[in-house]
Amino acid sequence: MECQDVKQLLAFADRKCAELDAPELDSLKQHLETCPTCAEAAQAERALDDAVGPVLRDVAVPADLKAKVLKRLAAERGAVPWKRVLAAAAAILIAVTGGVVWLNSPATAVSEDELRQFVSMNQWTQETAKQFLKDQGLVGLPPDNFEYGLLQHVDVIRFQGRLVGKLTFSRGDECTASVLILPWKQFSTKHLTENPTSLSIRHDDVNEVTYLILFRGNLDALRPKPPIT
Amino acid sequence: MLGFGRSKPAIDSLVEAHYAALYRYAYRLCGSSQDAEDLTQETFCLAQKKLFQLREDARAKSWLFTILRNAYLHRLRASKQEKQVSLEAVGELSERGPEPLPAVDSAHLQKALNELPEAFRTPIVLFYFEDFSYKDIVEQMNVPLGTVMSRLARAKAFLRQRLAEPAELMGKTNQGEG
Repeated sequence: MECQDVKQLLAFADRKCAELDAPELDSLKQHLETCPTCAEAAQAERALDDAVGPVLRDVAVPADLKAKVLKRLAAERGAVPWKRVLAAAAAILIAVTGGVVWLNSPATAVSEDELRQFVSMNQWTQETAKQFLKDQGLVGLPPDNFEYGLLQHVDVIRFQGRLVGKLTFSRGDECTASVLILPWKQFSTKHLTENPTSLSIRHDDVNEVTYLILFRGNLDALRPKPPIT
Repeated sequence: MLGFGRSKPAIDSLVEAHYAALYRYAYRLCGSSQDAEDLTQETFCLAQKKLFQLREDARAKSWLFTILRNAYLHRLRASKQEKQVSLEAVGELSERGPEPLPAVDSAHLQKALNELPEAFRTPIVLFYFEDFSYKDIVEQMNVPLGTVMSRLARAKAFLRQRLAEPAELMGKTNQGEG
């Protein structure tokens, strides 16, 4: 065994989890017995590991940490956000109302044209999203600087008593973002501050709207990819 | 196999088995007990959501450590607070230092770890935790074995030099990127 090989193997020796097999360890041991330079290097390596390892592992763990973690996990499992409750209540109301109307109405024949339009509306582009919001009588345009192939939903929601557009973008586990389009005439956002991990604020001076972007993950994952040249 | 979905017993048994090790890892990565607590909790919340991804009990610890490191990196990028010595400074150090090494103080060690770039700090912490093989470290960091070995050697050389200095001198030399 050469000194250079020993230098490599030293890093693997003396590990709690077995990294070297028996022949390698024997060979290393034999070399260290006959080579003072490598023996000295091995001793220095071991001295550092013995000095640092135990101290590095010796971290006091807060006594209540386990209970805190379990409590938070239980809360997350059982969490029913009030928005979800309201949505469920609204859904029940719509279902009941719809059911009454439906029982008293003649069945509507499904139109193939409507069906085709419905399918195409689920493949959003910036233009179709813009048209959809316009059709709902909303002020404001969908923002630039988003990959519209990742647009999942366009909704009209009631936000602080007013109807506003909401776009939902998602790229798998990397990022999900909801964009609220807030016209300046209706909303003031000057007091808000951005949060680098959850809230981005963009102002569109031309259309006089503010985009509140609430996101989870890496927002850059939703940006348009530069063209390949 | 631990089972799928939000299985309460499965995630609770993971907490029981690994919360202390995860906290220690988090503490040595971020150097703050409050941040380490937050990271540990965040790790288990993420694990609860992704529990279906864990197929083997034997991989649980490594899987949780990977989640914690990713959460830590995410915070680090978001806060842009990482200020350590430059990689070049780490590379210029001699692998042999003054001997014998004085007794190592925990706070002194943490200060030295804080100065290391994350790419060097993570492998050295995992290495000294001893439960992880080089193969585990390679998997967790997603870099080749040679890179892990090289970073470990440089990180050890850096620690050897830093820990030989009196604590009050630390941070006054070799300050680079930031």
